[in-house]
Amino acid sequence: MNPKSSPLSRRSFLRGSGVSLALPFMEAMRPLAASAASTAAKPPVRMACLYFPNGVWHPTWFPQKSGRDYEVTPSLEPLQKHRENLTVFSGLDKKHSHGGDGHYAKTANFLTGLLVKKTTGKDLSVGSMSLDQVAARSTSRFTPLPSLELGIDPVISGIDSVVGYTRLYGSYISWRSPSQPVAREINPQLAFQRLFGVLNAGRSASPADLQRAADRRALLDLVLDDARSLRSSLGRDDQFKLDEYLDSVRELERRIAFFSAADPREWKPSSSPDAANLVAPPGTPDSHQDHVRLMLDLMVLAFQTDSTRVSTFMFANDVSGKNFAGLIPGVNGSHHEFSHHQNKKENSEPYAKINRWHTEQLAYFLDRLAAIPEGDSNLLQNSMIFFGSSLSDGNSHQPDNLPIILAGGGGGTIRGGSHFAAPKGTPLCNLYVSMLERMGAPVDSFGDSTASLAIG
Amino acid sequence: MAVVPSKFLNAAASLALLITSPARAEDAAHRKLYDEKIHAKIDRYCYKCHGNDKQKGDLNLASQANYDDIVKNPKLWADILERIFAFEMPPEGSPGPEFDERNEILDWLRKLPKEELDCSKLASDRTQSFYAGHVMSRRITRDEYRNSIRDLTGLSIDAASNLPADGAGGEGFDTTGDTLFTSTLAIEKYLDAAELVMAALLPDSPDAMPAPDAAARASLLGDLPNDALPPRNAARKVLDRFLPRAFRRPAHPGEPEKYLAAFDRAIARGDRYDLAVRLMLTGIIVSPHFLFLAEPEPAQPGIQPLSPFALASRLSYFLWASMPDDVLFQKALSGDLLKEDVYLAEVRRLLADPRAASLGHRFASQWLDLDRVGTDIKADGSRFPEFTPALAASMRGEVITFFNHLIRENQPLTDLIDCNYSFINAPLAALYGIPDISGESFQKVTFPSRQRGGLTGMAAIHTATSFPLRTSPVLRGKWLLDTVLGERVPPPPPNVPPLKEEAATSSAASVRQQLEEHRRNPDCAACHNRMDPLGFGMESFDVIGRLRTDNVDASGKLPSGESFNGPEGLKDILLARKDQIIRHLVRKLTGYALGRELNHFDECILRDAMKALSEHEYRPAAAIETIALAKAFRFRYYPPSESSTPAPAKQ
Repeated sequence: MNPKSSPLSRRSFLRGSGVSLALPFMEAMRPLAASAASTAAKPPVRMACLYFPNGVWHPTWFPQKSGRDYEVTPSLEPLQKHRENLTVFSGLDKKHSHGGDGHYAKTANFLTGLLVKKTTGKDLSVGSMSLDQVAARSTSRFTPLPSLELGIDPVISGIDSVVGYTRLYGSYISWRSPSQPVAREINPQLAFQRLFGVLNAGRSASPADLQRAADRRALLDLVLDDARSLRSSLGRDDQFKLDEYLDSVRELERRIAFFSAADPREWKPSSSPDAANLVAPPGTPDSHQDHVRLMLDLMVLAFQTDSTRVSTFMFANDVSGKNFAGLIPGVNGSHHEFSHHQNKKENSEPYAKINRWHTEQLAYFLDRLAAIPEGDSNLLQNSMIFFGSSLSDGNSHQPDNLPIILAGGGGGTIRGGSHFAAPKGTPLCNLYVSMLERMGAPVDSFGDSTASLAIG
Repeated sequence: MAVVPSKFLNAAASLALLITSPARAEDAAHRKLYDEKIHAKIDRYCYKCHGNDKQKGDLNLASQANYDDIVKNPKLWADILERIFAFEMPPEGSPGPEFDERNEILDWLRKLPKEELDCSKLASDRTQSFYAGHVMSRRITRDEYRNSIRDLTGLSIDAASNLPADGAGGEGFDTTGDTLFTSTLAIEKYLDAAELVMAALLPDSPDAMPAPDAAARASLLGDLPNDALPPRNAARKVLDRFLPRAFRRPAHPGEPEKYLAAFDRAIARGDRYDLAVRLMLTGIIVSPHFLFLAEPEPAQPGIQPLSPFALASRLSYFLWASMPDDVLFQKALSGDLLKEDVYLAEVRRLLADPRAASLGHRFASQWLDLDRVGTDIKADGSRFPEFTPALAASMRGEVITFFNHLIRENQPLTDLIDCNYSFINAPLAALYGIPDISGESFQKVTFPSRQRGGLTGMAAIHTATSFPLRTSPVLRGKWLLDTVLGERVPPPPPNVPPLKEEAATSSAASVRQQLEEHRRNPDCAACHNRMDPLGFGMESFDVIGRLRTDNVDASGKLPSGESFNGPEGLKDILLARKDQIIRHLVRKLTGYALGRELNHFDECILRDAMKALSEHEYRPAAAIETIALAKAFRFRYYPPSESSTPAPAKQ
């Protein structure tokens, strides 16, 4: 298959390009390590939700045996070195996605579990705030970034007039409210620069930086005032669009203010990122794999530096027709087209290989997290990495028996090492209830949950 | 606000809703069919959940089971038709009608008397559902931001490249307010972009500026502070020119002072004059007054004409995807824009301006789904090494250039269906086998044969409707039905296996064979009989739009009985449906202009536009003028604001 997991393809990409943006404040990172005095405090739990499109080929994904001695399937094979650190789920269901179309009604609510309103825009809704944003509500006061949303593809344009949904539903899993998706950064260079800006703000504050931050706060105050007066001049139907603006400006003000207030954290990151990881890529690489790994690297960096504790990532938009030719030998054609496999070998084989390619990327992500020590543990042990697709099988499009993996120790609260075969019809949201508890954001119920899942 | 001419008010919202009385001859038969047959079927398949025992979705059909009840509620039954047609009802797991039975029910539903419009009657407060799909105040799109910054500053920069992409809604366009969101990431990017734009316009070292930018800077700053002009007064003059243009309306009382505070702040800490102006102006282009097309409530609720400034913005964002220019702004300022003749002259002036090329770049691109060619949709690189990003851009460029030619020259829209010319550059000339074209820019060519010319002969369309390795008559047929003809194509019924996708190596002949086999299944035939034959008409073109050299069978036979052969025959078929095609185009254009999904009442606009088009040889100006003059475009409905929601509490 694709043995390209190490050395970092990103580094070779950077070398090859001959361009790099060195961090101006590399030196300034030092005090970070020196300040690791208070590592006695318990490291926080981080949560990442990774989505891949178009479901899986069942025979090479789901193990037959449940429990700790489940057999290794070809698609899960790349994850075996982390076997003790992850749980493979089967049987999880999203009942509100049984109706509607085959994709949009499944993906937009991947992290809400509620009904996706059939619409090309009017009264757009995914039912509730998404899992990650609920978690971020509890963790955001500790970190400069409340959450980090990353993706690979720009938002899909247009509407699908055959099924009657706006295609943007296939481009978002993170929702700030039932009707407002959270925009994702897809350009790795911009995403790195943005994160560096956040790190920089905390560590080196040159007079010029301070002045710029003060200017920005002054400008934001000014436009916030504009927004309030504009809002009051509008009819009530128009006001909620201004509310998005108001909320977003306040959020940005809060971030700029974060470092001028006392750090609310007892715990401090105990390691500094390698210099090699503090280099922004020069742009978006041509290779899909390089692009994906840059984004995963960025999540590692964000978690390692405690810039945020919550992140989401979409490997691709739903219905993705990405051609993996060049990445996976012999897989020439569209991902979505292969997922309509009709039980034919010429489709299911490449489909399964594409599934496996995704678990290889997950393995890469887990490797990187596990390599970062935190006290006597590591970053993977202190994380929950949720990974899955919003439909079960690309041919039937059913949202039952979803392919879901939960990796990481959740700060020593998740056991791992088994195939959790949930009874048919078990809500995926039951797992979300268990995850939120571990994020310090306990809820009685979430989405269509009926209980929590015993993952401890 | 300027006084609205009374002529305008009389024309306002002259609309009413009538329901035709069922007096047609066939109505008796329709009623009889219901009583004898259809009622029993609706009883069998619907009443279990929507009857006297259960009322799922608050719907009880059993309580309105008389034919007379049914014809009184055309909206409901149109909705029911749609849900059955889309295989949404009866839902999965409930017993549903067999194929013939289902068609019988659908046929009967289609023949129900329709809700009819009388576009000449005046709307009353009771019928103001006309404005239910009102245009909301919305954020400008990424493209509109780019264009507005360009026109506001005079800089030729792409200020929008780092902004998050916008999705689309309504009729399929990014101009839809419902689907334009403003996230924190976007605000961050607007702030970054504003700083970059202003640093380019008012740089630290103005001496190093390129000449055009230096001119833009000079014109922005105007008189520099001097003995007679203190810095703050000079800054105020800059602001008095810049702010109304950026906000697309005159300054509100107190507004300039607010922004001057930013200038004062910079001066107080010792900033140079121009850099202090820079800080002040940076704030302006992050303000919601710049980023949002706001249509504030007038004093009176109900159906009201837009303010002249809101109208000017609607018009310029429709035709230019950018801000009003000074001429249009002056017409709004004087109030003359509300005079119909002045307004119409402005419509024509804007349409003749090069900025109207946004109609090709933003309207046609989105209507025809071209943005995805070369991004989401790519031919396989190993099989089609010719398919480079440059070729993909050329493909999109052909369609855009062609469309803009129709707009600029006011050429008949029927040229989209059939004509003997197009606009190609060197990469496309190589693809099409046309000699003597060099360079990247597009040149008009006349084709020797009728295979090309019109949308169905353009490579962008062929690629957009292919899989990476092979063409698909199904995708091409679906594209013609859905995008060009505007016919409703339902999703495949559940539990029917999707069309057999043959191996990539299979020949076009075997695709035809497999599709024929597929259509033997009656569940599939209903739609594939409509789609596949049309698609075959484009089979003469390969994945990237080259004419095939093998002897491909590009013939088709439609359910209507019409037969045709090849791209030329397909064009004849489409020409016979030109009214339907152009009506659909007008529908999309209206959705683009209004930024929302069209509703029943908007049929009046389409009707007027089609009338104007048929009187003007289908020349696009007739349609564009009709849309711009439409009440739905110049007026909006403001609900009474008795309970305005409080602003969210500060966190």
